[in-house]
Amino acid sequence: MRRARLIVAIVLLTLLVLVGSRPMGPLPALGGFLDPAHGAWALLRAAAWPARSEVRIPELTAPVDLVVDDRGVPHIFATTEADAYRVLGWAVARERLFQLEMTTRATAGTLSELLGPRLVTADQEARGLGLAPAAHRKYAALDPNSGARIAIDAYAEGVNAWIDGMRPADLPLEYRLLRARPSRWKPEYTLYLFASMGRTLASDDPAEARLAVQALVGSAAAEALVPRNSPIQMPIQPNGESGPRYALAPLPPPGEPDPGLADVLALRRGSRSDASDHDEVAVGSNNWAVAPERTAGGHALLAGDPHLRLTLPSIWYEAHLVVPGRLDVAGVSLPGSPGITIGFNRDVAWTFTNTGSDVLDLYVESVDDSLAPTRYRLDGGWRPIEQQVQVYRGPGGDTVAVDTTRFTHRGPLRRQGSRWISLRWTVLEPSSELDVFARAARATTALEWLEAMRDYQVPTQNGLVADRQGTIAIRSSGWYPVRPQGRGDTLLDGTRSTSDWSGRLPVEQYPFALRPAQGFLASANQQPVDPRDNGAYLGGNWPSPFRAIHINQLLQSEPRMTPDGMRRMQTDPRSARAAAFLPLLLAGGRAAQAAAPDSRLERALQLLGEWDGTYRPDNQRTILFELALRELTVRLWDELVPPREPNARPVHVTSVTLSQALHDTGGIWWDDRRTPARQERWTDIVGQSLAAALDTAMTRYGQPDSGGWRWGRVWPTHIMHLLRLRPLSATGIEVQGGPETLAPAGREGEYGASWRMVVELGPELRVWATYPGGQSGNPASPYYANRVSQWARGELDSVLVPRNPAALPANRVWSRISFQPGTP
Amino acid sequence: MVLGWWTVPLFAAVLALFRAGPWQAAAGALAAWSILLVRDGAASPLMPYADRLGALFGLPGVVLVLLTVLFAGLLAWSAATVVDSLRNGGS
Repeated sequence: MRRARLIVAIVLLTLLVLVGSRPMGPLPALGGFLDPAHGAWALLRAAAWPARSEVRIPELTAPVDLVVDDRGVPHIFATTEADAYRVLGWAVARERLFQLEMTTRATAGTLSELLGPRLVTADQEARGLGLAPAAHRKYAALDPNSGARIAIDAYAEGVNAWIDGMRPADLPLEYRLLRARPSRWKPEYTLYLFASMGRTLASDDPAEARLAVQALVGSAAAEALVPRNSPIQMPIQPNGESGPRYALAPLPPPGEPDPGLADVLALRRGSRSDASDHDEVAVGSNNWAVAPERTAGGHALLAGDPHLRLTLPSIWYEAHLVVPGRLDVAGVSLPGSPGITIGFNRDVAWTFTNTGSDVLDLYVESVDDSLAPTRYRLDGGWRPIEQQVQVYRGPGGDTVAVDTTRFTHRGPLRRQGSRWISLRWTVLEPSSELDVFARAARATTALEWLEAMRDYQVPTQNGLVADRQGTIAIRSSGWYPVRPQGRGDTLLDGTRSTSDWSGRLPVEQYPFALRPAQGFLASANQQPVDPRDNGAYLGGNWPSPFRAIHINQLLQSEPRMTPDGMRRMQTDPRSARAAAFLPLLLAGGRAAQAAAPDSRLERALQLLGEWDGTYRPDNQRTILFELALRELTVRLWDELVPPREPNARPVHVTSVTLSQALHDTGGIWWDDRRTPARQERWTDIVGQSLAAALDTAMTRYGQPDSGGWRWGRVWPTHIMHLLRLRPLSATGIEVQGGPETLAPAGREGEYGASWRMVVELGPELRVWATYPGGQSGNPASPYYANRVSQWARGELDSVLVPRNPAALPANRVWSRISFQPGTP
Repeated sequence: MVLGWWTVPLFAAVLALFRAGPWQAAAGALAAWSILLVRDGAASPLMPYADRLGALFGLPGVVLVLLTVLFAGLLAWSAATVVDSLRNGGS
C-alpha cells in the first residue's frame, strides 16, 4: 500500500512539475501562470492603483503629483511640460504596455517575432511601405531643442521608468500568454504611432477605386460611378444653401472593359470580397459645434466622435495635464504619444474628423529588370533603386521569411501584377504634428488654435474648434499635394519628373469656415467644400453625405441646443439615407407588385411599410431595409462583377451613386445583364430585391416578430482584444445606430465611435465624455471594459477637470502618487 | 522570482522531514494559495477576471480558481508523500 502510494506520488509530482514548468502547445507553463503571488492572478493586485505612493524617475527635474480619479483618469500636475510627459509616459505604460508593444511592432513590421509566422504578410506590408524608416527620418530631423523632441524623449523616459521598475506581478497578461518580455521604448516609437494613424486614415487612394471600375465598365462610366465631386453637396464649409445641393445626373451607360487595367482589378479582388459591406457604411466620424446664439445656455457647444476600429484596450487613453501658467489640457491621448490629441483646455475645445483627401499617388515605373529591378527610368536616364534585404524572424529568433524592400525617390516601389508601381504619400514625408498639437493645446482662443494648426500636415483632418468667447470655426487642415496634372485619382507616368508633385495647397485655400451666419458647423467625412466655391482638387470618391445631411437637419431644427441634446444626437437612431431610400423602395416595390403580383413581395412591402426608419436595438424591421438595399446594390451593379466570378465584388459604389441611379429610373444600369432575354426596369429590380431580402431574413432570423429580427441582435458591435482573444473581448453589444446613421456600424461590427465628447465652453468648463473600453489594458482591472455598457447606451460621464491636486473631491480620488527625481 | 510556485513542493518536503503528514502539507499549501488569492481578490474583483482567464482555457472561472488551489495542494501532497515514504524506508 505504501509502495503504491509512493509510486502515485512520484508520478503525480513528476506530472505536476512538468506542467508547472513547461509550456504545452499554446498554453504557458502553468506553475508560474497560476502562482497567485507572481502569476496571472497577481494582475488583480497590479490593476489597483495604490491609495498613496511615491515613485522615483531619474530624469524628472522637479516633483510631480499624479492624482487618479474614480474614472481611472490621471491628472498630472507638473512644473514643466517635459516632466508632465514623463509621468504621462509612466502612467500609459502602467496601463497599456502591451498595446504600446503591438502598435510599435505593427508599424515596424516585427509582429511575427512576437506572434509567429502567420503575421509575416502583415509585417511585409508594413516594411514594404517604409513606415518605420520614415519615422526614424522624422525623428532625426527634429531640432533637439524643439518642443516635439523634448516631449518625445521625456515620454520615452517615463515609459522606460515604468518598465525598469516593474515587479513580476506587473507583467501584462498578454506577455505571459506569449511567453515574451516587454521591449524598451525608443523615442522614435512615438512617430511610429503617427505613421500608423496616417496609414489608417490616409491610405485610401481614389485612383484605385476609379481604375478598378474603369477596368470593368470603361472610363466614362467610371468617372460617374466614382465621381471626383459628390453629386449631393452638403459641404463642411457652408455653401450658402439651407439644405443639400443636388447635382444628380443620368449615369452614362457601361462601356467596354479596359483590359489594360486588369491587374488593378485583380489586386482589389484579393483585398475586398464583398463590396456591399464596405467601410463607407461602417466608418465615419462626426463633429459639430453650435454658436452661443443657438444654445440654451448662451455658450458655445462642441461635440465630437471619431470613429475607428474598436479594440480592447481602446485606441485612446484619457488624461489631464497641468503645468501652471503653461498648460492645462485634458482629453484623449494616443497611447505612445505625449500630449492630448482631441480635447479641451479652459478656453478652447477641439475635435477632428478625417478629411480623406487624396494624399497618395501611384506612379508606373519603368525598371531595368521585371523580376529584380535595381534601376528605374527618370527623364531619359537611369536612377538606382534603394534596396534593403528584410529578414523576418519568428518568436524563437528563427528566420521565417526574407524579402527585399525597394524605394524610388518618390517612395516605396512594389510589384503590382505585371507593373512596378511606386507610391508617393504624405505620411512618409517630413512633418511634426507633435509641435502642432502642443501649440494647439496652449491656445486661448479659436483663432490661436487655428494659427497653431496652420502647420499641421498628416493625415488631413477636419479640425473643429470652439472657444469661451463663442467663436466656432472649422478648417480641413493638412498637406494637399498640388499635381501638375491637376488630379491624383489616376496612374501617373513615373518616367518623367514632371509627374511629381509640384507643391502643396496654401492654407488660405483649405476648406474653412469661421463664425458662420447659420450659427453651427458640422463635418462627417463628406466632401469638405462645394466645388462651386473652390475648384482645387482635394480628392475624389467622397463618402456619401447622408450623415452630414442628418446632422445639419438636426442642428437647424434646434434653435436652443443643450449639452444633452448634443449627446442624444451622437446616437440618434434616424438616418438621412433611410429617409431618402425607403420611399423609393416602397414605390418601386408597389409598382412591381401592381405589374406582377407576388406573395413574397406583398409581405415584404407590408413589413417594410411598418418600419419607422430608425435603427433602435429593439426594432424588428430595420434588418429588412438593410437586406433589401444589399440585394438592390448586388442586382443594380451587376456590371461591376468580374466575368466568370459571380461572387466577387472588387469595387464599391457609394450610396450617393445609388441615389443617382434611383434618380435615373430609366437608365440602362437597371437591366440585369445576366438575363439577356429580358430588359428589367427599376421596379423589377426593386421588387426582386425586396422579395429576396424577405427570403434571406426569414431563413436567417426566422419569423418577423419572433425576436430574431431585433436590430441589436442581428447587427451587434464587437470590440475585440488586440490579440483577438474572445474571452478578453466585448462581443455581441447591442447599439443604437447602423449604416450611415450618426453612430454608423457595418456588418462586421468592429467599428464605432472610439470617443464621444460634448463640451460646453461657459464661465466654468463642463465636459461629458466616454469611450468603448476602459482606462486599463489589464483584463484583471475593473477599469478594463467598464465604460462599454455606458457607451452602448449612448450615455456620457461627467469629466473632472481639477485646477490643482487638492481641487479633486476626496471621494472621487482613487490614488495619489508623488513622483520625485531620483533613482528608484 | 525568488519565491516561485516551485517552493510549494519544496516547503512540503521540508515539512514532511519534520514529520508533518502529506495531508497536512497539502492543506497548508491549499490554504496558503487560497490566502494569496483572497489577497489578490481584495485588490480587484476576482470572479470577473477568473471568468475571463478561465475562458481562455475553455473553463468556467470558478473551475480555474479551484484548479489553482488544487494544483498547489497536489504538489504539496505528492512531494510530502515522496519524502515521507523515503524517510520511512520506502515501504
